[in-house]
Amino acid sequence: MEIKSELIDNAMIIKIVGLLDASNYKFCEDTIQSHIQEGTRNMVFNLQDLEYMSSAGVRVFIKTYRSLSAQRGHMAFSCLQPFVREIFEVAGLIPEFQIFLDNEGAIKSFTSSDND
Amino acid sequence: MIDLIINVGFELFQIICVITLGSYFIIRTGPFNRVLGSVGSIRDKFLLILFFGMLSIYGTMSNIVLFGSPANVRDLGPICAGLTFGPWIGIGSAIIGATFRYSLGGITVIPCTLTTLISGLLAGFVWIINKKRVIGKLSAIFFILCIEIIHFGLILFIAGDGPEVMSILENMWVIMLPLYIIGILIYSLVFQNYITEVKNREELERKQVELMSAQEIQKSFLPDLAPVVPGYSIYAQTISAREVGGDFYDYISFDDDRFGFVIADVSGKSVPAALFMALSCTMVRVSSQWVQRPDLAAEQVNKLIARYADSGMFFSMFYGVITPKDGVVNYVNAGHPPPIIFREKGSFDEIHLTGSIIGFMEHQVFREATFTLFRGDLLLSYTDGVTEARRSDGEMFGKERLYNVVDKNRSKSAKEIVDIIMGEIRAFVDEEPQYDDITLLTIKREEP
Repeated sequence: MEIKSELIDNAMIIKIVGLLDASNYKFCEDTIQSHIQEGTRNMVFNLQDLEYMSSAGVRVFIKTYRSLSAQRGHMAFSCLQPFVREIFEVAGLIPEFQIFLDNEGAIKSFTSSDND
Repeated sequence: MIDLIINVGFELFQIICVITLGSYFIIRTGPFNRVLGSVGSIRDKFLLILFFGMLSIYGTMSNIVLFGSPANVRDLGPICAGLTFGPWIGIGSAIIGATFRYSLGGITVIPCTLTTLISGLLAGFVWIINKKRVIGKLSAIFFILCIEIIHFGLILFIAGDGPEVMSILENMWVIMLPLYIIGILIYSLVFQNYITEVKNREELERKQVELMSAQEIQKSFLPDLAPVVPGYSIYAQTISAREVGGDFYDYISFDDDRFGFVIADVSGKSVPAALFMALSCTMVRVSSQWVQRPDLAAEQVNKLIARYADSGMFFSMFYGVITPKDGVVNYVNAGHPPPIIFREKGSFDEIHLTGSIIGFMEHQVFREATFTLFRGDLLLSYTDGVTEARRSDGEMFGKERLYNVVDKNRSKSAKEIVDIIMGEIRAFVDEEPQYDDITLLTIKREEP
């Protein structure tokens, strides 16, 4: 698994590439948590190149969701593949997990919620 | 000259090899371990005396003759024996080595014999002073140095300072002392290595015992037996990937004739998951007695978990309450993989969500829904470890295989079906280690 982080317009775009499972979820969690500690409040998870995700992956996103909510932050997903969407659906995480077709849509959702 | 150096070098190498092998061998024997652990018999001690005595004799026999006078490592055996086991074994092996040396005679016979005896005895006293433990390798080298100074002094004092004696003494510093130092270093290293190995093994065993007791405690959280409900067969089983796991199931009884059943999968694995499992299991039990509706119980547990538990803790749960006489099940499905109802007539229904995973959001509403089990219907609930069980090529057991197995065996009882599915998963994953906990809970309505 590989994590690529990039800051675009006040939002951290986090791209997770490869397999996300029990063997590496901790690394993923730590990377995300360090972003939050450094002050990131808006996060977009681009999961276009995620090949496989086990229940450990769900844990990563729920933990992030809860951490960001506590900090009045926001998170969104872009480029979701059907199998990831299904996992989120089974766990009942949609619509709280907001899903967009691309990064731009996800970033825009933050600016509109910031104006609220 | 080059020939001489090669020859001496070769002989030195040979001695070092024998010391290394000898140490390695003796340290791993029963007598060595028993005496070290203070449980050795007289026979064990005698065998050790014999071994270190033989090492001393070997030291004498492996004389390297350089410039016409011999150099050897006779005292190494008694020193190792004394430093490791104290004065008795030290002096015992020293007597063997000294007797052999004495039988050879020569002008240094008295000082050499004496030094061997003294070395075994002194090493034993060092052991006592060091609180009956083996000294470190630097201290051991210092000790050897002291012994050789005594050796040197005794030869000078007893055998005089004739030219033959002087050449022997010169040789001592050039060859014997380095050889002794290498010898004691090897012994110390092999010994320390072994002690670390034993410590690690003991640590591992201790952890294993702790995990086993954790496993026992966790098992005590799960119900021993399925409830006996006339007209139904009920069975559940969980197999953890590690010693302890994060899946659980439970049966809940009420004051009337209804009964509840729970299957859940908490986040994480192994010990953290097991602790969270104990917490979740207790919360569900208490809440289900407090508020008798599954949706309200889920709501209460969710609020507590979301408010007080760490942000990485959550669990999926399917909780149903069945009224046996008409087969109506009131349930809540909180982010759990949809249980399946295999209808008697051959169709099947999936039981979808009525709420999200527990612990996801504090203010979350759970819906209650109902379905009915008719005669011959089978309800199968499972955790994702079942469908995600993977074999070596990465392929997962999957829903389809699960459906097919149940479909083929729907005439069997709840327990038989669980056993068959577990067997199929085992056969499917084969040698591949289990990644996730696997849990199944089935309820079959046998009679109208």
